[in-house]
Amino acid sequence: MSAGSSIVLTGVSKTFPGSDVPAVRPLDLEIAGGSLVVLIGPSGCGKTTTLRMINRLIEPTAGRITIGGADIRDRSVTDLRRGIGYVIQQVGLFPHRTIAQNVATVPKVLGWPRDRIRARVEELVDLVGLDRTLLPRYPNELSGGQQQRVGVARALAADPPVLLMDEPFGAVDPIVRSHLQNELLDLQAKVHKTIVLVTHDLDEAVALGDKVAIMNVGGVLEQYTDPDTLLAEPATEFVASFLGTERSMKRLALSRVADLELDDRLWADVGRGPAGLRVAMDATPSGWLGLVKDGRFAGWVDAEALAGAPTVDDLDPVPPAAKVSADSSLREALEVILTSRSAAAVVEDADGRFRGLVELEAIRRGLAR
Amino acid sequence: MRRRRWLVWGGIAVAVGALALWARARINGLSTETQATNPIVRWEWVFLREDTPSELWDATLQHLQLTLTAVAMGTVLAALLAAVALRFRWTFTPITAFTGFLYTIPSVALFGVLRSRYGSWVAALVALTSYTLLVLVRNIVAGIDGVPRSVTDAADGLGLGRVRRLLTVELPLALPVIVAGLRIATVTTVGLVGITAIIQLGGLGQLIFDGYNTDYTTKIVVGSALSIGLAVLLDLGFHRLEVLLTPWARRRSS
Repeated sequence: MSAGSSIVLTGVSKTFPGSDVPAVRPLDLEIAGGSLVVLIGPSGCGKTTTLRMINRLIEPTAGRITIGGADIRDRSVTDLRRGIGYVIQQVGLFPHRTIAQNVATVPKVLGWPRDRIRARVEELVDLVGLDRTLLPRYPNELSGGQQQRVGVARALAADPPVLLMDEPFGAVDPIVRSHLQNELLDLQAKVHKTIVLVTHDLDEAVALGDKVAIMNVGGVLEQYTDPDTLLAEPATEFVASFLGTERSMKRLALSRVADLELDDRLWADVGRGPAGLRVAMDATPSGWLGLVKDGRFAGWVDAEALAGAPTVDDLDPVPPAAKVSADSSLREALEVILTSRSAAAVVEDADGRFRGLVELEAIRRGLAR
Repeated sequence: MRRRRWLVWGGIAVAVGALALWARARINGLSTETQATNPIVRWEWVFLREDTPSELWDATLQHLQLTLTAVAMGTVLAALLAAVALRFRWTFTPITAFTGFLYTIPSVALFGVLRSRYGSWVAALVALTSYTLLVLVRNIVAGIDGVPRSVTDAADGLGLGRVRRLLTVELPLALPVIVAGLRIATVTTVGLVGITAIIQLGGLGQLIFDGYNTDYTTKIVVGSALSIGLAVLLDLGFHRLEVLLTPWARRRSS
């Protein structure tokens, strides 16, 4: 597997013939090798034009684009494109070719031996999560989601370092879309390509992008940063209005509970004994203390119960109503806390071991920066 | 598919049956005297005369030869014209205007003028070929234009190159429309070949003209029936070819 090459756009602009207004104004963009960058913006912002200039489906009017340091004009157009995966919204599978033949398109053009092509096709079909029994079928016998997976497999066939995706999930229904998005992230974790993805769906951009480039009409780059910074600190009025009023809610989906600073005053280990627990109780803001025994959460006690218990074993802690895993997003944690009507939720790792207690205040602090 | 084939053959059978019944009724309705001298079909000419089978065979063969040669030449020429029209879009209108103009020339006139200079065979083939061009050029261009934009975009994005895209993607996908044009051109040409009888060719047309000149309806009926049969067979043949070449078009997801 060849990992991704960096892509650098320097002063790249495009004015279409017969138009006075540039579709893309001189644009500088650096895309790190192996990262997934999302181009997003309203219609007419030149995001698709920018994408298509990278594989020269559109020739820039001015400027320079390099992939892995080499100017894309140094190679022939067909040679360049065979080294760049390309996935589009309508998939564009060849209806007269079987799935196997579709995936094999570029290797066949490159003259790979037949055995190597067959092995590669099977490897790719497994990689994108398709059943091998689909290989002899024709595209119109597959569902939209399956077709899109074939499209990705076809794009990756010759193991290109760069993958361009133009609204790849725009034509499938929302449930399949979120499946495919997660699969793309899993895939990217395995192949480490440099992926440039165009979308108009903000949630998709935030969920997929290592970095997000927000573009304004006429190909003006408004902000280029990671999703959390984007949502927390929009650079311009345009970006703020494009992101909309639910920025904080979107950020909740980005951060994990494990990243929060949790409040240690909310709980104590039963090993401290009744006296120690009473000291800990005095420090809690809520009047309830979480008890942890042998690394696991035992339950809640209030001050009255603690005062009347001569030994730790006499306590009868109330079992927790809310639990989240450390991998959960803040959004899931918030949901659990609000529906259980507790002040705090127990955070556990995958083995059920106690990791801390998260309450609304911790979530609020996590977003404030 | 099975149902459609059934309908085609059923229709042919009904037509032939109706013709036979009508001919029989006519024969029976005439007086013995007229019937003896001038029936619609003299079955003894068809079945008992010694030279009839070889004459019919030769006429049919010549008809087939003229038709297929003209359609083949027309296809090659139309492919070239269509390639030009697709490469340089502005030429499409002049090319269809020109082939359309050829189509409007009365065939009788064209056969006559060309024969006086080049002889019967060349005259017949040039004229017949030129009449196939309009429908063939239009259908080739329409077929290739009909390939979905997303498919050609994907082909470009994968780095297929112009020629490879045309041969391996656009042409196969345009095949149904191109074959539809071929079928129309062929059936039309089968009919037109008959008229080349005026320049001493004509295949089955020669038979029809003979019958016309000598007031011998048997030859007209037999010549027409064979000509129709030839057209239907060629049409079905091309349809069969299309089905064989486009296996993907038949399979659909359930």
